[in-house]
Amino acid sequence: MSDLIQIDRRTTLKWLAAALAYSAHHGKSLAGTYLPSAGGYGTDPDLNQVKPIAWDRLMNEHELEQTALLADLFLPGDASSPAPSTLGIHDFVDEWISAPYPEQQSDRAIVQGGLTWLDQESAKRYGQEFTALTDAQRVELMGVMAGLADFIFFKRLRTLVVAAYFSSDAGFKDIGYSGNVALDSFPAPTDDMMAIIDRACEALGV
Amino acid sequence: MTTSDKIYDVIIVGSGAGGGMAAFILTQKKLKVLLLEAGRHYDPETETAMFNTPQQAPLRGVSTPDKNFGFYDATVDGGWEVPNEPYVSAPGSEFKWWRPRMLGGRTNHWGRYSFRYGPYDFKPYSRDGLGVDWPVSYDEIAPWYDKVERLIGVTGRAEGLENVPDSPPGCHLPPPAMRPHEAFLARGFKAMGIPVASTRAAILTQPHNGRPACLWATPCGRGCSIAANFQSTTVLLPVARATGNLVTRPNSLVYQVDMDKAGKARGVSFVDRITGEHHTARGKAVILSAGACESARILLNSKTGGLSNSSGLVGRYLMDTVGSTTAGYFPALEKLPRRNDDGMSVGHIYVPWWGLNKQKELGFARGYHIEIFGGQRMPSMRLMGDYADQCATPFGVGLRQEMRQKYGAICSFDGRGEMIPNENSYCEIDPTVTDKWGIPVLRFHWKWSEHETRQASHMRKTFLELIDRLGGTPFEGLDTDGEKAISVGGEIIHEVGTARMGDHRKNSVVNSYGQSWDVKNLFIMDGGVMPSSPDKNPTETILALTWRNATYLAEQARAGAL
Repeated sequence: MSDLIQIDRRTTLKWLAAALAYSAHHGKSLAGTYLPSAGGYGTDPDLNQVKPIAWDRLMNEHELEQTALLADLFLPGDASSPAPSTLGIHDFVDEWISAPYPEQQSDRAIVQGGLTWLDQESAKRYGQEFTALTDAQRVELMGVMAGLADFIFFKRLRTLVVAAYFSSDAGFKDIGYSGNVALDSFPAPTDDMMAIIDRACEALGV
Repeated sequence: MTTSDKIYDVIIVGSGAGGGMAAFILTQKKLKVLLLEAGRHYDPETETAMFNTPQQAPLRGVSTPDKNFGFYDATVDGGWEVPNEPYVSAPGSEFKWWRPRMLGGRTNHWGRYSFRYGPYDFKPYSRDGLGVDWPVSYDEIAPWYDKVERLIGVTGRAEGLENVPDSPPGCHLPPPAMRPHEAFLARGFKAMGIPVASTRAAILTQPHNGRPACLWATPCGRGCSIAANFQSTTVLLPVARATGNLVTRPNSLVYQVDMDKAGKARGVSFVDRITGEHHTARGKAVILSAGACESARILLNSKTGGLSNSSGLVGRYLMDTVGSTTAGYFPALEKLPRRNDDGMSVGHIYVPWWGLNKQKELGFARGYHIEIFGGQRMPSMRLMGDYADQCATPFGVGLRQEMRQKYGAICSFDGRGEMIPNENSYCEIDPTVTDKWGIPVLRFHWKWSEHETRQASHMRKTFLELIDRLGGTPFEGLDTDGEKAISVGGEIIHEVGTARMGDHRKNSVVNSYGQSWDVKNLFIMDGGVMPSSPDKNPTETILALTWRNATYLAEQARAGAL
């Protein structure tokens, strides 16, 4: 029994030394090393009681206003579809670009840089910043941006706005997604649907 | 370090498919079991956010370094990296290792495709001279597959396809109806001479053993609070617990099998992940079910040169499934009216390997199956971003109209193929790096052979041909260069092979019952024992082998033979 205790002490010392060695290399970029993102929600968030976003928002009022205007230009609202700004899509873009994760941080530079460019370009063309332009001027400027080859700001913001819009609960309705409800059984396609597929396949020769 | 006086009949390390099944069998056979789980306790009934929408999650629930498969994925405290528990890829190698830290392990989020291996899969060497044969045949394992399917509930239909065994009558649950886009894709495959099969998934299409049927909504990857799919935590562990013969200790990271002077295992040493204290536990038998790589790590850390390693094969012949994906956009699907396409989170059809007799001309030795996604699925940031990219209208009313028109017309294809074991793919103990508690970590070596890269190339070419025949446009996964088309090692999360079974102690780590050749009361019951890595996802086979091997262990224990 005394043998066992001695081994245990030795073992404990061994682990202690090794744990110190871990502290020394921890933080270095090893493959397979988890490095926490400051302000992130961590690896075990409560999925049912989602806490408010922990990270600070980085957009100022002016940037939020610009983003709301742009979002509504990408997907204008009408009688049956809410405009993105009424769903807070600009706030979501703020949440996104403010997040402490690499993909979002890369978007931060693109979006905030683009918003600065937008005011400069507005001033150059119309003598005013973007938020002060007329609707027609804004649409015209959107057309200019859309025509610029590889203009990452326009392309990325478009993707963020459209994806955030349609992945919202209101967006589900707008695009006609009718799932996420419990069913007793899974319905087979109707005869009408199968006829559509038959016709499509015949036209394709398959 | 604290030592418990209690001597259990069996100590099981890990609570996923292998450990959960071992506990299920052994506790019902009245053995006293200590189940050590590295992660925290986890309760799917209360913790699964089944119907939450992306809007309710940070960043619409997208993947982040904190939650690699998205906010709602069931995985707790893990993913490609686990806090405080690093691993290393050797220079020139890239390997990804998915680990959760939760009761039930990866069974909480797994894909739920559930296949039996076929007769050829057990005897690959006999068929083409590559790799090694298993020491067991399909016929020997078939009754155990039957038991597993009857217990957990697996969909399927008799397909009559070579090397895709049909289950005996009464085993499979009825498969779900095809979705419209699946009927469309099936026509394309048929035109290419490729048969399509009903899905085989561990998801209940009717009430089964007291569990309710699937409610045809919510992604299985979040887990299932009503137990309508298979998870160790909903199907196995509650039964084991109810016997009164199970003690579960979470947050217990086992790092060593302890030996007695007679060369038998007398228990394990572990560190409490929360307190950092070291403990030992005593058992008359030890089962490692920590996952192929973690079980190998424990063996290699137990003794200089590795415990149960007289063959030198612990950690060797690490395999993963070959993966490659292509996504396409199909204008023909725009014409379909709106409907609820949720169904199961898996495809309702899949494509079993169809090239068994063409392997010589194909230039690679083994096959793959195809998993299909598509239809009018729940919009996510990623999916809607893909649709936005497909829309030509840059902005305005027309963009909204185009999104509405195109939604439902994207489908994607995942090839899942067999890797042949090779000398260059293995894990070993890194000489310098340790985890937070000072335990040496794994270093991975990885190399695909041409059998795999050519297969990945073939996957892509098949997908591109299908998309073309159906008038579609591919937009992701276009490169047919196999080296570029193939997944990263480990990425498909089917690691197997690190403690292969065999018919002789020289060519294997364990015998056909997962029993160590060197330490007769030590067993491996996870994917590590597999001598090959068939394209068919491994979970059902881990369950079947464990049912069989735990039954053997119980018999041996009763006979006093351990």
